[in-house]
Amino acid sequence: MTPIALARSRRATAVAILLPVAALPRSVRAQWRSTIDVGSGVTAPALSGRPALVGGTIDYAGLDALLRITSRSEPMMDEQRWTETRFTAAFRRGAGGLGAMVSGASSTSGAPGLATARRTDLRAGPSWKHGDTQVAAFAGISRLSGARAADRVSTAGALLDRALAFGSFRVTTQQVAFDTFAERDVDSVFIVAGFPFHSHSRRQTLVRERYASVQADLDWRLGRSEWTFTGGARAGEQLGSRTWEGMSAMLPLTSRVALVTELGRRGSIPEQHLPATRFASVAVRLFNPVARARPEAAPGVGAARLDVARDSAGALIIEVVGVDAYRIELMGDFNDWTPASLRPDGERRWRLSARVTAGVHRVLMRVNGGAWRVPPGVSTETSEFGEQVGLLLVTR
Amino acid sequence: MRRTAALLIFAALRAAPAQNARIDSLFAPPVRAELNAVLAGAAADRLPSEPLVQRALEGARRGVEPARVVSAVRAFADRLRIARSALGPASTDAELVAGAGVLYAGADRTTLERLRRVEPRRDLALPLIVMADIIERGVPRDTATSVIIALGEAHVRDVDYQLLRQSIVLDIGSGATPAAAAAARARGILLNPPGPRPPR
Repeated sequence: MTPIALARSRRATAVAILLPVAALPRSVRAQWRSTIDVGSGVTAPALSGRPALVGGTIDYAGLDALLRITSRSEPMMDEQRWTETRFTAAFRRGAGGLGAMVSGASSTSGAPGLATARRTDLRAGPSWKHGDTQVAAFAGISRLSGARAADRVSTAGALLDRALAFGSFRVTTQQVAFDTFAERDVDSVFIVAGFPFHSHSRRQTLVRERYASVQADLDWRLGRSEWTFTGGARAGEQLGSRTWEGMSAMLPLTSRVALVTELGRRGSIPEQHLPATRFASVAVRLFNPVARARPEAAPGVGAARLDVARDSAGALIIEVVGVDAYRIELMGDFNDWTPASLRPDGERRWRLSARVTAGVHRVLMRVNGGAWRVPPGVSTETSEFGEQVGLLLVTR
Repeated sequence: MRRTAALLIFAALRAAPAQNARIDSLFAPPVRAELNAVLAGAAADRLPSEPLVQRALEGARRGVEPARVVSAVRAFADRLRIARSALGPASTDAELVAGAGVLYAGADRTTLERLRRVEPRRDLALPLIVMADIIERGVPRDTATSVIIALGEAHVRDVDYQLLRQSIVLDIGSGATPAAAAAARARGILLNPPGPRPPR
């Protein structure tokens, strides 16, 4: 890839990451999180181009919706780069309700023998979540078009993804069937009775292939670091590589900066003519101020709740349970509407000791610097100012 | 006796500027004067002043324009007056605040009077909060009123009101209409109250 093309792909990635966020009003932007990865990587077979890695995500995680934009440009092999932008939207009603997901991906790459390629995937399907268990099934269609040497290649296929997650362990199975249609112009010269004749013909080939794969991912937290281990295997008519494995680790350095490293072996992507490669990369991940809260654990989902109790000395303890965050604040008429940070007290448990008199108190909660909302599990009232507020009844 | 009265007066004099100081720090003089007038009127009617101050602080912290804050605090004071008159002079501050919330949700004073009649000696703060909450969640006002008064007539416990609210929230989340959820859950509590009743 030429330096100009590389710069273009990086610029496209940056624009894909930043433009949608910049277009949002400030009040809405506060509810989004975004990350940007900048780093470097190596591959085997060896990369001969510039091994820069640029990527990022933008998430909106509300109580009933998850919107995500992911963009990544990373080195492949032989000066090739892989650039991909993906849009995902998921909606659900209630903690155990049905949801739907639509995702699209568009990528360009130069794989060996395939100078350019553009791919688009569309997936949709229901998902179901209850507590730590999630089941999803997505059916989709995929289309790839490209060119190599003198060929025009067109691949179209169908995808069926199924996912099952128990807490931090996920298993995904995928079935793919695709047809690759290659068309080549053939010019030939033959001699009849001493005279040369030129002929032009178009040769077409159609190859139908299918495969099935299974992949398992395990997320693991060790202190402040977050690790993900991945392993997968594939069976089918065309096999580039039967297995793949990898790991990634993220070590937060500050609340807004983390070190991310990835290492492993990627499987081939048969329909895209991409071979298996070994890879290693190191990147710096930059978070925006409302980062690192897992979108699946937005307040109000699952068993999140706010409790009040008195300690042995009679002081009131306000406890927020079941919310995954790095900062939780409360404000209300018990503290003159001045935000007070809760302190972490165990896994997804936060506490605030406060002097609260008996009576009815109005309260709001903020997670990771987002919008002020009614805390989970408390009574709700619309205030005279047109916004909802939580009500706490404190007895003697 | 004289000493106690002097102490009470001293405490009252100390308390009043403290409330004003919080308002003074957040509002311009004309708004401050209007808010203090509302507070003085409330104090004259022996209404709790702290909820009024807090309502003003809430508006300021939320960035609401001052004129709207004054009008909200004034309307809140009026609702506290109506709640006091409907629930009786012995009602607690928590009952008055909760009663004002029910009035703001759309119920009328006769609802508060009926609830007090059926539960003359009980602290009605929780039933009133639950009534306002389920109205907020879409239960029609008449249904919410009937349900809470029916539970009051049955002298159910506080935990039953909490159970009613949680059940309605779950049912609505599962797709039930708010009215049906409220009626069904109240019926369930009235027909089969969970756990032993405390001695009355």
